[in-house]
Amino acid sequence: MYVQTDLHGHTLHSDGRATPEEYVEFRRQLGMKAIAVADHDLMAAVRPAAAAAARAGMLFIPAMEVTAHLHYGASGEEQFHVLAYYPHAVLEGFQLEQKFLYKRGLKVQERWKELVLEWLSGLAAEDRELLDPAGELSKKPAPTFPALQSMILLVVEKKRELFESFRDFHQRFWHSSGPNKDLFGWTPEEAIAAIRADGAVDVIAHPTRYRDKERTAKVIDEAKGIEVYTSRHKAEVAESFRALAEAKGKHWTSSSDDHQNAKYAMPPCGTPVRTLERICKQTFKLESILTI
Amino acid sequence: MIKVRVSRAGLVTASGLFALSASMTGCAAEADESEGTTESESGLTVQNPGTGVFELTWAYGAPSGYSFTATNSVDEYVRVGESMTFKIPASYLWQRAYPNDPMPSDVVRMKKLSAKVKAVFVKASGATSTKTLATGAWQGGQAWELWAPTASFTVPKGTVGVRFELVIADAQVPATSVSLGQAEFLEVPVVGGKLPAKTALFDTDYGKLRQRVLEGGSPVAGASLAIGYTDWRAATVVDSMKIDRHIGTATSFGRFGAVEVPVYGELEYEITASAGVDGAFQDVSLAANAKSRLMPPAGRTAYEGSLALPKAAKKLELAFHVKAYLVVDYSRYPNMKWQKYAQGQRILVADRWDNENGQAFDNYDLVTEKR
Repeated sequence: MYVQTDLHGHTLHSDGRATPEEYVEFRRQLGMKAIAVADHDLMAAVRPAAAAAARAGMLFIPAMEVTAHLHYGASGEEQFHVLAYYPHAVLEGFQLEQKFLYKRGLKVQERWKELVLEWLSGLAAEDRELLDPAGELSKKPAPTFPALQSMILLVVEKKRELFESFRDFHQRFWHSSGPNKDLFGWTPEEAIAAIRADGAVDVIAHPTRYRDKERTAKVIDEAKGIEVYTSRHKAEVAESFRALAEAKGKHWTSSSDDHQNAKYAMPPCGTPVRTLERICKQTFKLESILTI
Repeated sequence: MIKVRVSRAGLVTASGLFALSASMTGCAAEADESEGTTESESGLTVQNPGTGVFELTWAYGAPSGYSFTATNSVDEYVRVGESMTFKIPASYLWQRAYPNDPMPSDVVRMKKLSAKVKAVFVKASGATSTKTLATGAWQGGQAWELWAPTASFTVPKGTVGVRFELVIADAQVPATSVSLGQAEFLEVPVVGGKLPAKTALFDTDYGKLRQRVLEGGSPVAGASLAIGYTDWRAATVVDSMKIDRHIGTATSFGRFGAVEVPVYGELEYEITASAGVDGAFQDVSLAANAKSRLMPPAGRTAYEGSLALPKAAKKLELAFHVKAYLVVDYSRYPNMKWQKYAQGQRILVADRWDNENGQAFDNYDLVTEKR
């Protein structure tokens, strides 16, 4: 039994373009029954998206795409993404705000603001004034500071010639040469441990993307689940990961990794009910799934 | 088969709040048109106000992000006559009383907190009355899940909205007193405060079309009837996902460089109600309202109009003409690469009737009540 889902996509709170409400509305119109927003390293979209999903009668799963690394600070350094899925029930009261990864997300927003202001401070005075008239950006609280995609669009709109400078500079945010080793210097196994300590389920995002296949295979062995269907997987790749997940008794998910920068790729299959049950820590009766 | 019964006062009711036509129920209603106009009970009081809880929780659009949201036994609306309580989480009180201090995990410490909530009942005239309630015993086993109820209260007659005030106290630090005024919280609309005027809402229940008289019973002859029609219902009627909204391609930028992004147009709806009172039809234009009291505050639109029912009205028939326009706006995309249409064009892409069973001359039928 499968439920039509999209459990991995981004909003303008990270490198997507849609507001949380637009994100939910798009999926509501597609007839999806269960969705998640999985922004990079923060959960700013979770509350507004959850509220929109509740109004639309959809099951909403609080989530985050956690950035870890393979070979951090060494040759072959590459990002490795692990999805964290929380039970829907953490939305009750203020449980979500108590989670470690949620609080880490607030730090990520503060560090992002610092990084952008550092880049601005290195620009010629007239360019800085063009992008940040009267220093208005620096006055914005970190949670409302333009995130990556919004900042890119702002730079391009104000002065296209500054795009390459910003693009190159912002890579430091995650890279071992940058200031955020404490946030992003995790190995995938450390990310998985943090996700589990938070009461969430760990799922390896788009596992075909990583260059170190041998290391990736070991992380997959460790993980609770695998993202099988995603716009980053060709059909045959997805089927091979599905076979792997089923052979190893792992959970698997069906998502888009939508950033609203290409035509939406509708996931070709749903997510197994048992995976949703594991995430939500509850059993779904058949009729409740059909009417979620 | 849907059961149709005639109430003691002769009011025709059904499993839904509308009196359904025989063609939909598959059986002839026991009440005929001569019984349609009856003495009104529901024109005087809300017949089934139910019970509900105002919970302090995250809410879209609230200045601080948190407000009182209602869960009700009947549906999503608070009604005049409804018995309500408050549910206050201790974590919220701590957050507002001590915003710079992490919340303690000590349950005993958290239980020192308390609050008084004032419900401010707003009438259509703007006049207000109030009810203040104190939190009772804390419930729950861990600090983050503690919550306290208040005693119950009844939403008074004539109320069209409820506003809130909150005062937080801490028995461990008697000097602590934090007052949160009405501007901190969203006003919750109340149904049934303008009786005998009523509201007929045409919306959706998941993928199904649904219609309700929110106050219960039927529209009242000699009173006005507000008509609401929701954006999601319009989208369902025109099957909006099958409408090609692709209007062009733009060059944009992502973290890896230039990308070509698809540009989509928005759908706008024009909705007209065709209202027949005892067989005489008139058109009622429904105006788009993005801040409707019928809808939650984020991103939704209700199309609204009203109809004055004559004193002698016995039967009301409604159908809706729904037109969807694709609005072409490239202004958000400075680097358009391909434009399918001209800027500013408004293209009719769907033209449908929303009536009972989708058949011609087959309307949503409502009997009326006497005032």
